This record gives sequence, structure tokens and C-alpha cells, in this order.
Amino acid sequence: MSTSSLRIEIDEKAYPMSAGGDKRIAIKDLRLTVSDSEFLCIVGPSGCGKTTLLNIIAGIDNDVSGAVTTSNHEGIESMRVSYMFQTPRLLPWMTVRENVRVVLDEETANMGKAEELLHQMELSDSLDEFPNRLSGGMQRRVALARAFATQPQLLLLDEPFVSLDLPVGNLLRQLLLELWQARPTTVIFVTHDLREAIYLADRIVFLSRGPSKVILEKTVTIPRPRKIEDAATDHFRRELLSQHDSLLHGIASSSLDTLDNNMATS
Amino acid sequence: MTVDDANSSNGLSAGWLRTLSFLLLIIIWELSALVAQSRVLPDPWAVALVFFDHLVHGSLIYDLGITLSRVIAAFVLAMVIGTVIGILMGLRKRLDILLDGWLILFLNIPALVTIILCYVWFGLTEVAAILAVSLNKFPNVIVTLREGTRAVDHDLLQVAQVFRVGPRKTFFKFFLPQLYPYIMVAARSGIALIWKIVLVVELLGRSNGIGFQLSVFFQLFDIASILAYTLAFVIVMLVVELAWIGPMDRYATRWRK
Repeated sequence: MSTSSLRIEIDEKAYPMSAGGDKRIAIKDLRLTVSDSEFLCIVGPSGCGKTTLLNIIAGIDNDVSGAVTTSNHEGIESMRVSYMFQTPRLLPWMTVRENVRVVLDEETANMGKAEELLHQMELSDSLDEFPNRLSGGMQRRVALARAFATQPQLLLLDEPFVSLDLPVGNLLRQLLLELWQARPTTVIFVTHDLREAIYLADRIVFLSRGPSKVILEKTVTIPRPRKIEDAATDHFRRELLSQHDSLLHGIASSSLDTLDNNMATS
Repeated sequence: MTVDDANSSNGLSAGWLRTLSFLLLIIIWELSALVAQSRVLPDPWAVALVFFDHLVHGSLIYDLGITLSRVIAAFVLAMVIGTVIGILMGLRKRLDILLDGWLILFLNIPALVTIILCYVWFGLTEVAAILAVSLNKFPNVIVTLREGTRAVDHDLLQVAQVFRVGPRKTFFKFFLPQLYPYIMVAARSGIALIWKIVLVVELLGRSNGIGFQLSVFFQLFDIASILAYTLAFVIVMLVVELAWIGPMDRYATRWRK
């Protein structure tokens, strides 16, 4: 796997408003560099254009002035990219196994890559089930297996665990970290949940409300393995919020209680 | 009331009820024939005898084969052309606007007009016959598939795009399966429509097939043979539905649980 960092430079991303006339600017002057095999979390309020940003990085959205380049001055097309969406987006007419195999080339598929990852996700008993029969957490595990099966050089995740209840979500966060540590890859993980970001990330980038740009970058100094709810992460979070109180006001969920409620109900 | 309620209230299963309903139809037919005592309403027994006579000594098998092959040819032609154009119109807004008017026109041309024009323009040939049948069906396929294409889930296509699976896989694994229910609807209604129109086409301009034979029997006032041929064809189409379309549909929708 080539070692290269990723440079994201977006001058402006705008959506045309209906009935001609004005446009709505989603992203403005956003500059971001991600190092190789770094786990980067992007935190920002809902509707600030986080998904738009990921779509631009993934190359799904090309209607933008700006560029995403690697340090060897190549476009994003030169990288193997995986994307885990907010919903699992599995193909309902394919079994679990086929859902992972379908994104692999024939050679990789025949090497048993799909089965290997599904086994790690403890889905060996569900290989020939259809996704509709699985729980939400299991569907997420299939999507996670699919995302890693292609051996991505860049993995994008768009709040993939938001609609899960806390224990299921935590299990998946743990699985994600295990996979990432076993197969290092550059990760960009988008969330509105600061505690999730502190648990996962090497570095956290905070985005402002739309038109969004980077307002703060913070390296997470807590050594791994971390725990999602312990004194160290809690301390880090409180300190971060108190240091940048005015800047982060309303950007990152600040109270533990509302956070719990969010995670349980959303 | 559900089927179970019906079962518990009179102790008959759905299967028995269907058999009973079928027997009732035969009895009504038999009684009507008895009362009428007419050459134009033969009783079921007479029709059955004529049926076996045509089956063994006549050309029933041959005519069935001819008509069935026309049904299949017209069906395949209409489905393939209709599906391709339907998908293109669903995907391309400009093409849709361009062809929409023609489509409405075609949808509203009576089957008989298409048949007559095809025979007049292309002669009383096999090609003209099959073309005439297809032309009656394919606007309908287009409309159904255009609807299906518009309803395609783009989130799933994005998955194909992000993982760069290539255009071939995107089409066959991510796009086409989403159209499957629409193709099935078009196929079911297509078979039902086509086999009825094929008979008219045969009656007007072919010298073999079920439709042609029916016109001969009509001229001879041989009602028993007309009913026997009709029965034979209905049975064949039921077999097609039960043995082919039904199982295919069940297989392709097995994930919907």
C-alpha cells in the first residue's frame, strides 16, 4: 500500500436554490490534510455539510470548485476508497456473502476475502441470509466487512452507528478500531458526537455551521486502547469544551446527558 | 374474513372450494346444454370427445405449437425492445420528452388497426404478424419500465460508484435487479395480452395456428371444436404461468421475507 497523505482543498461548494436565483453555500474555504493511516474524526453540527464533504472526497460529488489530491499530486482516483454510509445500503436481493463479494474483483473474491472479514465480524452463521432478516447491528457489521474487504487506502464513514442503541453501537466502534489496527488505512470518520470522536480518533477536526470550514483541530493524546466511558476520555472532553467554550458552542454536543439521550433515541 | 375463518366455519379447505367451484361451472354448463338442446351449445362431454379427437387425429398439437411459437416470438421482441427503450426514457429526460408523445399515440391505437396496417404494409407474412402483435404490447412495457427506472434507488447506485465496480457490474448487479418487479409486471400482463391478440392476427392473415382454425370452425358452425381449441389453449397458458412465470417470480423475490 502506497504511503501518501491526502490534501483536501475546497474553495466553494454550493447548491443551487430552487427557482433559479440564489445559491446556498455549503462549504467555503475548507483546507484539511490527512496523514497516511491516520484516524481522523470530523465533528460538526447536523446539516453543516459533513456528508457533502465526504461525497466530494469520495468522488461522488464532482460539482465543486476545489481539489482532493494525494501527496504524490495524484487525484483521488488513484486511491482505493471505501465508504460506509449512514444507512447500511446493502443490496436486499443478495445474501450477506454476495453483498461483500460484489464489491470485490473476481480474484480477491475467490481468495475468500469476503468470508474472512465476515468471519471476523462474527457473521459466519449468516453468510447465506438475506439482509432483511438481520438486525440493524448485524447489517452494520456486513457493511463494515464490505468496507474493509476491498483493502481500502482511504475509508470514509458517515455517522455509521448513529441509529443504533448504545451497547450495539459501542460493539461496532470497537470492531471498527480492531479492523483498523489490524489493517491500517487512512480513515475519515464523520460524526456529531464528540465522545465517539474522542474514543476513535487520532485527531479531531471541528467544522463550523454552514458554510462550513475548519475552526479547530485537536490531536487526541489519550493512549490506546481507550475505553468509551472512562475518566481519561471524559477528562479530555471536558477540558476541550472548557478551553474552546465559545468556539465550540452548539458545535459539539457538550452535556453528557443530552449525549446519552441522543444516542439512545436517534 | 381470512381463509382460516372460512376453513373453520365450514370445514372445507381452499383447495376443495376451488374444485367445487370448478365442478359447479361444469354442472351449470351441462344443465344449460340440456335445456337448450341446441347444436350451438354442446355439453361438456361432447366438447371433451371433440378435444381428444383433434388431439389424436387432428392438427390441434400442430396449431398449438404454431400459435405458441408466435406468442413467444412476439413476447420476447416486445419485452426486449420495450425494456431497452423504457430504461433509456427513464434515464434520459430529453429522450423522454422527445418520445412521450409517440408513446401516448401508440398506447391509444387499437390493436385491430395495428394488425391491419402491418398486413397492408408488410404483406400477409409471418414477420408482419409477429410485428403487429409486438407493436400492441411494447408501449405498455415501455411505460412500466420507465416508471421502474425512475424509482431506482440511487443510494445503491452510489455504492457501486464508490467501490468502483465498473459499468457492467453496476448495470447487472445494482441497477437491473431493482427493475425486476416492473419487468415481472410487464411480463405477466404481456403474456395475457399477447396470446389474445395473436389469435386475432392469425384469424386475419395466417393460414395456420389456433386463430386460423377458430375462423374455419366458425364458418362451419362447429362450436364444439371452437370450445375444444379454446380449452386447449387456456390449459397451455395456465401451464406457462404455473411452470415458468410463477416459479421464476418466486425465485427472484425469495429475499422478501
